This record gives sequence, structure tokens and C-alpha cells, in this order.
Amino acid sequence: MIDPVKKTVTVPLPKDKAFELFTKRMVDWWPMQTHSVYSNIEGMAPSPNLVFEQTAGGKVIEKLANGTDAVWADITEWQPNEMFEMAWYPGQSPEEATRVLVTFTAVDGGTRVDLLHDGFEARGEGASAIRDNYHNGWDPVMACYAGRTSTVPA
Amino acid sequence: MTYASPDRVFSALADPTRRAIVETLGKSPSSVGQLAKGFPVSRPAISQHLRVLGDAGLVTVRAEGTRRIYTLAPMGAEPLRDWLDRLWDDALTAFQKKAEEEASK
Repeated sequence: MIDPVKKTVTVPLPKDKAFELFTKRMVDWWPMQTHSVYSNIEGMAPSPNLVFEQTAGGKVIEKLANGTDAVWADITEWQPNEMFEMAWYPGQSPEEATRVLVTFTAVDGGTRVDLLHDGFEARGEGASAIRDNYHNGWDPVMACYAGRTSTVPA
Repeated sequence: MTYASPDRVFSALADPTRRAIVETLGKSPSSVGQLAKGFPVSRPAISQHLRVLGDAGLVTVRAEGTRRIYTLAPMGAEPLRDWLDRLWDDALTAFQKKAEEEASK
């Protein structure tokens, strides 16, 4: 299995401000030039608009000038100023979503933001198939690679 | 987003037969003939699956006498994780920069 991606960043803002910036104001900082669904499509300017619907069941949507929407994620858990979790599938179908969990913790001088991205087994196979077949499906395949890659010098 | 490389890995592994081939090769390198014995599919079908796995960078092949022996590529599943790693590094760096701007206002 592929290891989860874990990232931590500390910012000099109180928790509520850090949370608001990360979610509601994602459009103000997300690197759209390099990381948007449309940025790699020939002839499509990167979208200037990213909407983060701040509620459980809400969506993260990239809106293109021509009116096209690309849904990046469904918000699956929403605890304002504390954490949120989303099913993440930019450029993919919801069945191929992976999980992104972001938590906010007050620390000296600001807020620590921890991001965990996992659930990669869901990609390339339907979620229900994963549930039915989790243990003999994807896991052993990735274990093969984990076993192999750990013997390769960095 | 730049999904090309990880996408290929994922779509190659979306097929149960190809996953089983990967598992088999993880245990021991094999020729097409050896693989075909263990699967209820034809040799040409195995060859086609190996081609897809090869295109995705998951499997490599070497010649051993007249036989072609297939093995797992050591870094096969890495493109995906590397790509995600970079994505979140880039995103969180941008978030931090913006937060620092806000804090200094």
C-alpha cells in the first residue's frame, strides 16, 4: 500500500483565521497556475475561480470563465476552526476519490496545520469493490512495491 | 493537474488480472509462458497486460537466452506518491506565504 502523504505547516494566524484562509479563501492562495484541473489543457487559461462550500456535503469547485465547473472534492466532515475532511478527486470521478484530512491546532505564535492524504487504494477501482475486496485487492499489490522500493538505496 | 504519470499507474493497476500479474512478479520474475500457466487467460492476453504494465513503468523486461523475463520495476508506484508529495508541498507553501502576508497587515 502507498504510504499516506503527511504534511505540516505552521502559520502566524489564530486558528479561526487560519481555518478561514485555508477553506473559504482557498482561491486566494491555491497555486492555480500549476495545480488546477484546467491548467494543463491546451488553450485553456487557468481558472481564476475556486469555490469552497463551507459545510459537510459541500464541494470544492474550480469554475472556468466559460461556465464549466470541475468538482475537486466533496466535504465529508466539517468542524469549523478545528478540522475538515474531503473526498478528493480533481479531474477524476467521485468513485476514484482519495481522502484528505486537514486539522488545525493552536500553537505558540499561531496555528499548526496538519494535512493527511490517504486512501489511494480507491483510485482506479470502484469504492464498493474496494470495500468488498480490500484485503485481497489492492493492498498486496502495493505491498509488493513497498517491499521492492525499501531495498533500493535513496 | 498533472495526472499523466500517476494516472497511467492507476489505470494499469485497475485491472484485476494485471494486479495479479504484479503480485506474481513480486514473488519471482517470470516469462510470459510461466505467467500464462498460472492464469486462466491466453498468452497473447498476458503479453498485452505486460505491455500495459510496461508502459506504466511498473514492469521491466530482460532477455535471458531466448526467453524474455519480466520483473517488477523497483520504483513503479513512486510517480503517484511523488506527484502528491509535490502537490501538497506547493500548496502548503503557498498557503503559508499568504498567511504570513495576512499576519503582517
